[in-house]
Formats: sequence, structure tokens, C-alpha cells
Amino acid sequence: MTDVLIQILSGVSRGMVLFIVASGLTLIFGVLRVANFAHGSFYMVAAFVTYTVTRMAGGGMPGFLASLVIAPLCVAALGAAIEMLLLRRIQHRDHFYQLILTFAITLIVADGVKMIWGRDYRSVPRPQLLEGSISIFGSPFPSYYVLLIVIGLVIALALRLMLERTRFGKTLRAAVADGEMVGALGVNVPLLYTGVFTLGAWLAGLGGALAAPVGSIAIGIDNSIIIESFAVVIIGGVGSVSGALVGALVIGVLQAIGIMVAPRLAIAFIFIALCAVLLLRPQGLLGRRA
Amino acid sequence: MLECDRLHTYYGAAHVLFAVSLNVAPGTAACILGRNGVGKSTTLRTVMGLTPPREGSILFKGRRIDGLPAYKVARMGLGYVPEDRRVFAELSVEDNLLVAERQAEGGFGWTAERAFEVFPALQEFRTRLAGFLSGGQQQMLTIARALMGNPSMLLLDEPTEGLSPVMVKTLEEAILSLKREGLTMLVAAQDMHFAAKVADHLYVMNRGAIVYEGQRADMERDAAVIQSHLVV
Repeated sequence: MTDVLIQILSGVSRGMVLFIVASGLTLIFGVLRVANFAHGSFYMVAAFVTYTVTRMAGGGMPGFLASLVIAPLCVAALGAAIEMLLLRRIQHRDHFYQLILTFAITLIVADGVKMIWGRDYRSVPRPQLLEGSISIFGSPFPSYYVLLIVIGLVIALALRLMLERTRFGKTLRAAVADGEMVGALGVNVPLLYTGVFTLGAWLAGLGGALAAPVGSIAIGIDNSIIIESFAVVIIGGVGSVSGALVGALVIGVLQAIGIMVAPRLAIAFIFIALCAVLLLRPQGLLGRRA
Repeated sequence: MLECDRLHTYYGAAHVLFAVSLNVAPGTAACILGRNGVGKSTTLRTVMGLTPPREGSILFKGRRIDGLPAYKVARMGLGYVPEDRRVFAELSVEDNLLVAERQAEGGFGWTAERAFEVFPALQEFRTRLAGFLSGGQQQMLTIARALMGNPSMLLLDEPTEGLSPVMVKTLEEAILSLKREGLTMLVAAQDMHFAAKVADHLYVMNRGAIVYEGQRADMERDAAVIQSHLVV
């Protein structure tokens, strides 16, 4: 029984990383109406930057903390540049132009990463303080996973406060509902778009930096995270951060349980959940009907 | 205040406005009358910069605004009240106003409190989500929201459409009181009686073009002509 609990908790910790990444994707999707394929690239670049920063600063706590600050900021700057220099130029075109553009960015970034960091698998050490495990009903549970859950909850709370209490957040929610109307009320829409895209990229970067010490870092992690993130956005509802939290936890836990029950079918559970939501509640669990 | 000169607007390949010219003098209200689908909303959207004209020019306070994005037009002092209300349903009444709060050039110093004086019903529901308001209350909110941008001129798209007679009267009075405060207005409407109460100057549209233009004083004399354009 404790095995199941531990497995669920590790699913939750994986779900939290997924939530952080997908919350950025859902905000971008909701406000800019862009299906940002490059979101996975942001995640991957942040993971590699984390690798470099921890190598340079040593594997201890300072290097870990520095990477948590630096990697998301690098990716946020990359996101801001992409939005201002590329996406903005085609924002009035059909949606598939934006799809093609963000897809092209994934290819360019993947090759860029190959050129800078190579094809080898890299790993980032966890700082010593977080290397051990805590005991839950006598079973060990990695301390680092506890940290992931805590940070995920903090980000969820911070995003919620931002969306509910600040003027930027309220404007953002209004733009998710009716972007044209927000512009007609004098909101500087191009600036809002850049802000949201940058925030979204920062979140993808934070997810990448946090995930770096968990698995291995290599070309291809951009694809796996983007598929899961889109699944989260669709399950939770486009533009809904709370939806992204629910969706990410559902996927994280389903996957963790799936691995226990039928390891080879684990990935299928995500798509079964996705199909179920699309059939029963196409606007997503917490989404609004269009 | 507003001078539109021979505007031609398209939705994709469809030509929807044909050489629409109109003028609204400061402090006056002009009304565009017409049936559904004759181009009233498109005219207002064109002025606002939401559907830019392909030909023609728009001057607002003597400056060209055609081609500017809507947010810049709004910041110059043009307030927009769209058809179908379009309140932000998941935001409270107060937050709908907050999102729109902005200093525009030469405005009238509007605050949420003053907007509530014009629409006391909104004050009562200030913390309620806009999606849970009645149609009439939502319409009040869209007007109050436009006022929060401190406009010198309002574009109102069928502000009394689909509302109960009592609510229509309330809104008419509110609109007239705003006019008395010096706000310039361009109002799209289908109802001649509404136009007769509010408008100093009247335009009638049919099939994307202005087919009649006159002063309020001419309305009675020309009633038959105006009506002929309004019947289906």
C-alpha cells in the first residue's frame, strides 16, 4: 500500500514540473492564441543551461540555486526575442503560419543545442542537501521530489495571486476571454502579448531547470515535454492555470500508476485520459465553452 | 471631432462599406440608423481601428487615426461600446472597470465611483461576476467600462437592443445625461424613436452606404423616406 502512495507522490512531483511548463503554454495559448511548439525547446534549453551553470559553479547548492535563476531568465529573454522579432510580424495571418513558425523554431533550437552541447546524454547532480530521501510510513521518498512538489505549489499559488489580484493578471484574464475588446479599451496589446509570452517562456525554463537533476538531459526532451504539455492544456482547458494544475497532476499520477501496472502502456494512459476529456468535456475540465 | 471621408471597408474579399462619410461635431450625438447587416457595426469597428478601412481617411480631433491599432485610438479618447455587450464574464464588475481604467487625452476625469453614480445598479453588484448580470446590467457595464478610459467621444453599437422597455428607458436617460456632460457620441441603432431622442444629427445606412443624412429637425418631415430604408 505504501508502494502505491510513494508511486502516487512521485507522480505528483513529476506532475508539478509538468504543471509549471504547461501553465506557461496555456497562458500563451489563451492570450496569444498561438499553439507554441517552441515551448518544449524553451524547456530543453533551460535544462542544458542548468547543466552548464552547475558544471561551472560546481554541483553544490550555490550552483543549483544559480541555475534556477539563470536558466529561466535566459529562456525568458529568448522567448521575448522570438515574440517581438518573429511572432509579432505574423500575428494577423492565419493560425497555421504561427504553427509553422514555432515548429521551425523547434528545429532550429534543436540543431543549435546539438552544436553547443553535442548529442551526448548529460546529467546534473542534485545538491547534497537534496540528495537523500525522507521517510513516508517507513518508505523512502527522495527529498528532491519533495522540493518539486513544494515549488510547484508555490508557483501555483503565485500564479493564482497574480491572476486574481494584480491588474496585469486581470487584464490577462480579460484578454483570454476577448482579446480584441481588451485592445479597444486601450490596453497595449503588443506589450501584453510580449509580457505573457515572456512569462510563459520563463515558466517553461523553470520547469526545465527543475527537471534537469531528475532525468538525463539530451536532444529529444523537447518533444516529450511538449506532447505532455499539450495534453495537459487540453485536459485542463485552454487559458486556465488551475486547469493546467489539475491536468498535470492527472497525467503525472496516471503515468506513475501506469508504470506500476503496465509499464509498456504507461504512455497510453495519457492519451486515454486525453480522449476521455475530449469526448466528455471538449472545452477541458476547467475550460470555458467557446 | 470625428470626420470620416469616403471609407471603404472589406471583410476579406467581401466589400462591406461603400464610401461612408460622416461628421460628428464636438458635444453632439450622431445616430446611424439601419436594419441588421447594413454596415452600422462595421462603420463603428472601422472608426475604432478594429476593422481598418482599405480606402478613405478618418480624422479624430484633427489627427489621422485610420491605420492605427485600436488601443492607440482608444488612448486618444475614443470609447467603444460593442454590440452583444462583450463584458468579461469571469471578472467582477469592479475588475471589468479596472481593466479599462486609463487616462486618455482630454477626458472627463471618470472614476469607478462616478460611473456608479450614472449606473447605481452596478454599485450594488460591484463584486459580482459580470457573467451573472442581467442583459441590461451588462449593457450598463459596457458603457461604464468605456467611460473608465476617459473618452472624449463614445461609439455605442445598439446600446438598447434586446432589452426590456424599462431598461431601454433607463439606458436612454443615462446616455442623455452623458451627452449633457459634454461627451460626443456616435450611436448605431435600429429604432427611429431612440434616434429621435438622442441624436442631433442622423445618418441612415442601407447596403453598406449612407443613404440619408439630416438634422433632428428634419426627421419628422423625412419620416417616410427614413422608414422606407428601415423596412425589410
